[in-house]
Amino acid sequence: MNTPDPLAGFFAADTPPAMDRVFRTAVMERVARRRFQIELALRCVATLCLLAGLALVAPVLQRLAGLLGRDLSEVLVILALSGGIAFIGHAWLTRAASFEWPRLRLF
Amino acid sequence: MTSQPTDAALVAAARSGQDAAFARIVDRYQAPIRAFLRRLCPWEGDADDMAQEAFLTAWTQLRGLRDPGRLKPWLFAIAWRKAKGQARSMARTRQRDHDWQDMRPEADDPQPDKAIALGQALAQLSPEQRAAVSLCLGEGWTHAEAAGVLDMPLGTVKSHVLRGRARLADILGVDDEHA
Repeated sequence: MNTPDPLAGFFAADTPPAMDRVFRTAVMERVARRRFQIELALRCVATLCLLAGLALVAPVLQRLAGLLGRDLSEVLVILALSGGIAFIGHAWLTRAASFEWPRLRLF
Repeated sequence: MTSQPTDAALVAAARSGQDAAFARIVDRYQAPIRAFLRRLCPWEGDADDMAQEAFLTAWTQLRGLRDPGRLKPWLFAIAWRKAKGQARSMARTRQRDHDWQDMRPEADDPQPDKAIALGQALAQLSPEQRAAVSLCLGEGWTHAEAAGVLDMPLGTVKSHVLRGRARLADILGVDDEHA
């Protein structure tokens, strides 16, 4: 017959509770913080890449704008005015009793 | 009767972004991981902080886990690496913490006598011996499993357990027939 391990009692007395909500909350807070840091870093990198891309194509865009600007300027003005009128009309037709500014959400 | 999800299912859910699944992983393994780290580190606060760091590392590296069914040894391996890495920095703050403990009028969470005796006895073993003894005697792992987690040769783990066990029995005044 196997005798019980005399050291096992010492180890059993040293075990934390099987369920610890405080510990779990602390871990999940750290996870949320880490996720925020990762997302922030990724968005910063994406923004830098976008800026770098725009800087690379800027000369080409400037040249295109110079070539097409005169011909397209009247069309662009008409499009902008139409868009503005459509936006205001939509806002007027779907107006609510109380106005709510759109919420600014980063993520 | 509700069946408990397997480790592999929880890992898959956590990988897909479900925080609730990762919280269940934490619930499932916080006790053995904290017990393991508390045996490696004499200060409970440091050990629990390391355990939180270990779970955070696990969350970050969850996609790198090749076999989700082997979540438990993977978590213990992360905890062991944390303990090895932070041993030096904690040694520097140990004296400061010790002074603070002495200043406290009464312990916040009084430990049973056996736990205190075990902590004092474990402190006299090397970190490797403590880790091997904690896994094999405290958690009931086989020598081979412990060798995999601690990244040590099997013979070394056996030696650590044998010597550590004899030392513990000697310090604790236990008549050890298992040695």
